[in-house]
Amino acid sequence: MKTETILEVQAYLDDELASENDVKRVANLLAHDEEAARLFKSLKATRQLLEGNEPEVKLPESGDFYWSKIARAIERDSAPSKVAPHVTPWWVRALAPLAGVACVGLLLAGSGVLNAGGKARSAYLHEIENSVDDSSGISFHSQSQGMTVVWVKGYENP
Amino acid sequence: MRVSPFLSSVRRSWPLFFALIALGVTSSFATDEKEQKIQAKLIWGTDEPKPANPKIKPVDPKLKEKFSGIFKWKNYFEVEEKHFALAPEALKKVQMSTKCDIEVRNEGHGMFEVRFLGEGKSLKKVRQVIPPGELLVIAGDDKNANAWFVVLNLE
Amino acid sequence: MTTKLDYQAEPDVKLVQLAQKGDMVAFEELVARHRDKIYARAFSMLRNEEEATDLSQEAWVKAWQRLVQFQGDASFVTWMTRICINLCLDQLRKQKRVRTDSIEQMEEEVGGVERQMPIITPNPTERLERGELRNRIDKALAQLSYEHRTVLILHEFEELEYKEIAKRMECSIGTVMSRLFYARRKMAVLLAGLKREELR
Repeated sequence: MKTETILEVQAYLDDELASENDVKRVANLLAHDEEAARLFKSLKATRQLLEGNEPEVKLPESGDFYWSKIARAIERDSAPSKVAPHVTPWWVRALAPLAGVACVGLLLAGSGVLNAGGKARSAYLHEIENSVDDSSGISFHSQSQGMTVVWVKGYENP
Repeated sequence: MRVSPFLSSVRRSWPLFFALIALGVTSSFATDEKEQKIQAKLIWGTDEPKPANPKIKPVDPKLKEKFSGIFKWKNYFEVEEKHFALAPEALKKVQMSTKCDIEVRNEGHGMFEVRFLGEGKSLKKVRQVIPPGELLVIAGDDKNANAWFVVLNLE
Repeated sequence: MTTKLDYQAEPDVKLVQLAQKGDMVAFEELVARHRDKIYARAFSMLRNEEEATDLSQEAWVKAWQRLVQFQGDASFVTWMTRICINLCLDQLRKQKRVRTDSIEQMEEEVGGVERQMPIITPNPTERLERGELRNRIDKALAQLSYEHRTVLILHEFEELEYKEIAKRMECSIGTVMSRLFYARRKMAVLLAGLKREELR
């Protein structure tokens, strides 16, 4: 049997063949080619044998000791999440419209100040509107990196 | 009534005073009224090495440093880069990938409204002052613990 | 009146929510629940107790740091296992274990091994006690090269698709298929109780 055919038989077993035509072709091969059928049977049996029989391994040290090392490492990194945007507390969300109004007020009243330098324009004063199914208002500002991050939940692979 | 020479001179100066203020205000607005050039990038954050696609290149070291200061991914790759200009009150839709677009409105005075659209659907709208040198990042999780970032900054 | 939270009685989802808000006790409970599984995954890939312990702990620390990214698309333990797998793969790459792989692998790469090995069909109905069967599987896995073992683990135990394995292992889908085939054939032989000499 060609290596290509061997791998096709395996892909048939794993439901990884690209098209319906390939599935039909390999099914036909298995029905008529004894060697291919034998190979399929062997691969299937091996898979069945492994299924649900992953070796069980126990942690070689006590759970407390194991955790203590994790806890120490987390504490070393201090913040719960360096990566992560923090969830805005409810009172900040409640005051957000006021902040928006204040921001607009500042913009109008102090355009000279705003033009004086970028730093005077607080990047915190933003408004975020979420889509209907994403009510999370996750955002944060990094002063040190000069960056405002708004995290969109539930949208992968843009 | 006798008016002191000082007050008298001030009264005489009122028109000039208002003219100066008006000039100051209009000039300050005028500086904001010009077209704003914007750069938008779609970036992929991952722990995996560089993908085979030659179009995808690592982000510049400065941006990588900024991202590494906040996020935990090892590598950041630039998938798309767009440059566009917006006059005050102008709105532009910019395609960042086949599936995602951003709509940016220049509200003037450094204020921008950015709408993030995934497959045509509005997922997030942000109104934000983008100071020169700062970044506005709209981001989200990608499959396999990776992440995507749409990064906007003024040019 | 406030009721004291019984962490042990809470489901993973609730504990994750609490941990996302910075509750370390909730995270500790998650670690207690799943530490054996995460350690086992690390051990199955690295085959070294000390390394597996260190690396699984590192995975937990990473998970804490990235907890806000957990959206609940998969179960917490699946998400956690993925983090652990990625760390293991990084570690194995660093160690360049690929260079210590056996001659068998080189034979496999040139496509010769498939034809050399007989088709062995292990009998799934063979009356083996489950513990004994697992023990045999463990010993057989230990005899595979790291690349074959990893492909087998990712496919059979983590149920990842070919393309997902290829992405994680930084190789082509064809290589994944070939390695998986070889790994299965070798496992079949080992589980059927044949000695290596009988293969030739």
